[in-house]
Amino acid sequence: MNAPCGKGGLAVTPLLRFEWTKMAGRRIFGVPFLVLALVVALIVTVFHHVQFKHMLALFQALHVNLSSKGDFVNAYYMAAHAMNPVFQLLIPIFITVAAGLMVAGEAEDGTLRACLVRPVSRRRLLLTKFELLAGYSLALSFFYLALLLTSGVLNFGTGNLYTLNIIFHNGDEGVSTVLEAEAPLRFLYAGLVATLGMMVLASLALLVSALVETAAMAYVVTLSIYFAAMTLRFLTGLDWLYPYLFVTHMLSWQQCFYSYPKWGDIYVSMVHLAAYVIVFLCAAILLFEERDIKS
Amino acid sequence: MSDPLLVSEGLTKVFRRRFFGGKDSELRAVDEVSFAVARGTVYGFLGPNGAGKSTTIRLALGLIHPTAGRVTIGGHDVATQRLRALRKVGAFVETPSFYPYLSGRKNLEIFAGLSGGATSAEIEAALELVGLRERAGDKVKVYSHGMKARLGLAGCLLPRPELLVLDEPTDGLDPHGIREVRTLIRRLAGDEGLTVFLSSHMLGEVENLCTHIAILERGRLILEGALEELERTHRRYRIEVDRTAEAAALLREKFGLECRSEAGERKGLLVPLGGRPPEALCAALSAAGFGVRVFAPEQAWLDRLFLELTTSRESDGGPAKVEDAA
Repeated sequence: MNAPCGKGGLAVTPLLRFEWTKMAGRRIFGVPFLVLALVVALIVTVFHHVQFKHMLALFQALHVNLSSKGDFVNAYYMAAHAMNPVFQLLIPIFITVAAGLMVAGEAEDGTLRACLVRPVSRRRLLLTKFELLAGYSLALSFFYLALLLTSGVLNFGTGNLYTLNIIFHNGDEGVSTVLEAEAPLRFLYAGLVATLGMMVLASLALLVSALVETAAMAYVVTLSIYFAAMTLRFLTGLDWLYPYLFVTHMLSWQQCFYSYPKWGDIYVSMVHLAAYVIVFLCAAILLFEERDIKS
Repeated sequence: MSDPLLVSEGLTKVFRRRFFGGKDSELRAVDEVSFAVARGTVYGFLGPNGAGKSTTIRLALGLIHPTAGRVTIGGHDVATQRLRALRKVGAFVETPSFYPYLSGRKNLEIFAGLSGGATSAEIEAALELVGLRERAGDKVKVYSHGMKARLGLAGCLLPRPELLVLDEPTDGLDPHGIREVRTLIRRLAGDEGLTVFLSSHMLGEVENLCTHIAILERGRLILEGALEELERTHRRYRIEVDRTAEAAALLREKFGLECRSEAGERKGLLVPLGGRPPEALCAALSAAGFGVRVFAPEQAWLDRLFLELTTSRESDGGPAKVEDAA
């Protein structure tokens, strides 16, 4: 394992391998996959037992020609609805914890100090941690989606996706319909946009981690910022602020389930998300380069 | 001093803490510290707890940024060429830290990899050297304190460094562990020819291992030099003779030495030789007809010197520098 030592320090690839070894050896990084699997099992059970009479009535009231639960409760319906709480609550928590452990946690344990007395660039180290977090976000998002869709297909089959706009689109009335053939691609897009949103959170968590001394403090501060931004979205009178909040763009994956998605708006949100990633990451690198490692 | 490997020039670190609505506080942890560590030496960095030893080491390794001054390793400035400076350095600061959920061998692979990598054979050789080869597959969380210290030393040796920087390497170890680690450091410095910079507040350890020492007190370097030279100038002799007062007068008159009577029950004289050969004093006392019962070098002289320097100095004009006899 004679890794090359290039101009800027250790080449990224071996560094990524070492970071992966550290991550893979730690059980806590595997726990979210188990939790997500349990969530899927719970959702499937619930969907089996709930009759969705109220939902059927709502669809019928909105002039959608549905006569029973079996007409709209299918894999896509279950997956689309199950994405909302998990991508807004659970996965952000998992990503924040992972990022906190990777920097502030390592600082707390003294292993960051042990790494930095070696000829490794702080910038490269942080970027590698971000690469790994990005991969972790992608893995969590698509593991959940794949598990949801697979278990949905096995239990409820497929069909057209009907969603109430009010659930996904902040107040628009009516029902969106995504044809059965088009639905898998919509889920792929939604998953990619949601993952990009998780990367914003990962970069924010790295930024916070570069500032604080303990992993616990990193989780608390990052999640406080995230939930505070989420709360602002619910406050009336602050509509002018919504376009500038990163959480607004983090939720743009929901638009993929519109009957006719405004792809332009989705791309704009993706550009915003990418910009947030770059800004948070650059700030994290600047702070991390200047940080005194005292622990 | 020719070819210094590690050089500190006017190194200063001030920690500032800002309080909202209150007064800012400032701690000068390291204050204009200058020293040079020559290749092939074992340099002991002494000081009481909180003297600034670990901070100096952190500055030397680029973990924290100096407020003023600079450190170079192998001619490379740690602040501007950190990666080049650290390429040939093996170090641990405070306690060696590892990933407890990984094996000793895997930890070594990771840390050696960060320094450019080591072959499996080199990793096995390092494990063999520190006596951990048989336990290398165990997770670090089941290692004892001593095993972690030895693994820390093995980590410092991968890939082969020129300079070892060890911060209190025997801190927290039991007597067996202390002996093992000291033997290992002696072996690395002697047989392997590595330059070693170690901090400690254990004076016996420094006296046993080091060729050069520096004493730090409240962030300032108050004494530095080759141990042999410091011993020659600062170590006293204990003399027991039949007529103590007359012997003291003779030594004052003939050699200009200020003798001190021992405190307590003991009746001897403590004589700072100031570099004079002890044989000359002994011969002069015998020739003057004194019955010399004891003429022996002072025990624990470094402890005494350390305590004198670190308890009596409130402030002074700078470090007391002793030129290297070499």
